[in-house]
Amino acid sequence: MENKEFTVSEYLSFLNKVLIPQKAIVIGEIGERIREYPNFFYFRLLDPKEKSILNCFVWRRNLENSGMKLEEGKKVKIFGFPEIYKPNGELNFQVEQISFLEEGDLKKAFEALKKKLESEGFFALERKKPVPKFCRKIGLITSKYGEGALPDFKKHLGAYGFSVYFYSVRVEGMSAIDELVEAVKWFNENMTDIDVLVLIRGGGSWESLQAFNSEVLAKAIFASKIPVICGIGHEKDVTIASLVADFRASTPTDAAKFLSENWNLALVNIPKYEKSLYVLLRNRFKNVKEKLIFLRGNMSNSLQTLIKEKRAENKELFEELQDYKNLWLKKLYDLLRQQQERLNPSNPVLKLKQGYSITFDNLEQIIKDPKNVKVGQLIKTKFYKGHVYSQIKRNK
Amino acid sequence: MPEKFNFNTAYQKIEEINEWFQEENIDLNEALEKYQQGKELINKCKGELKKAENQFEDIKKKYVVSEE
Repeated sequence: MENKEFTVSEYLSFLNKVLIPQKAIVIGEIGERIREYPNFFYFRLLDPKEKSILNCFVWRRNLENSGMKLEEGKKVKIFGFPEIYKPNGELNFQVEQISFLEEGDLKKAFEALKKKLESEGFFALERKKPVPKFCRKIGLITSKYGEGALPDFKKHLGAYGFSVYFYSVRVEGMSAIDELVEAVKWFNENMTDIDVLVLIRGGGSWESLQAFNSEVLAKAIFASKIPVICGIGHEKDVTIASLVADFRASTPTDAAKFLSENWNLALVNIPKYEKSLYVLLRNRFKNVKEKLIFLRGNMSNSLQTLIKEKRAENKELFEELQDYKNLWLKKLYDLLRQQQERLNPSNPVLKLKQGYSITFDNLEQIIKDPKNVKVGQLIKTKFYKGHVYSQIKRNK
Repeated sequence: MPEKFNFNTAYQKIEEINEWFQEENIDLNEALEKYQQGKELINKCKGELKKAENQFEDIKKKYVVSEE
């Protein structure tokens, strides 16, 4: 090695090969002279106590993903690797991620990012994807080392035959953001038939939740085609990730309960529906049966009334007819009497009554001409009352 | 191949049928049909509810191994 000769460029390349893998987190204060270019920034990280300077380079994209602005005097934490920039021989620390150290600054950055994303519609309810009521396939994103989140989630996820695809990531620290984003993207690219993605993390300090307050994760959740549930920290914790999520669970336990509550309900409701469906159908038919019975009753009632009415009507008619009969009979009798009276003058009995008499021969023939009788013949004379027999003495 | 059973749509349909039966005037033939349909869906849902055990699969490990 000692005998090897390098050109400057070769040597710097050699050094960079050694330097670049030396990834580290460095804490310091942003110094003056921040140089801004369209796609990147140069700034200096200072150690005021020890009078040390680290030259830093950061891509604008990485700065924006971290959700913060470079500001002189702010205490920050940077994550990245060292590299010598060959054209000027200077050592630069390539910043992959940067975040404020002080809570006040973090909160300010958080509020600024929240405001920005809100104005861009990231939290709008109308663009949120509906989480299916009954999820079966779950993509779970959290740390397998977490003491709270994973056990809590498993414990409260009812045994409803869930298929949980567990993607372990770091949920804290500088590489957490990248891993979380990668996990969300991985499911969207490789497991599109997943019902829901669940991002969970147990409670912790405000600072420890910072990975969930990054713009790049917000964008990944926003872009996810699979609905996302976030259950991060405790109930009081509000992170950007949970605001963008399609459903915000307050804790990992809450996320698990949310996924199983509808199954719980179905377990109760399905037998209930089964029973009620039968009852409903039976009632419907019972109703119809009752209606038919009612109608039949109605019909026979009205029929009887009708018959009664008709009968009464007929009676009237009958009586009327009878009246007519009597009238007619009376008329007939009158007519007969009149006829009789008209006949009366020729009635022989009347004649006899008036004093006329009728004479018959021995053969009971009325004698109308004396030529038909002989002297000495016996004749009968009929009077009004009774009759006499006499003998003819002379025939003129 | 028969359409894959979907608990979400089946459950929703069952709820709809139950609601339908609450209506004032319903056609009896339709009622019988809906009853049959509801019963079938309920049986399927009951079958699904029985499959209980959860399965956990470690994705990251598999993913990382295949990457390396």
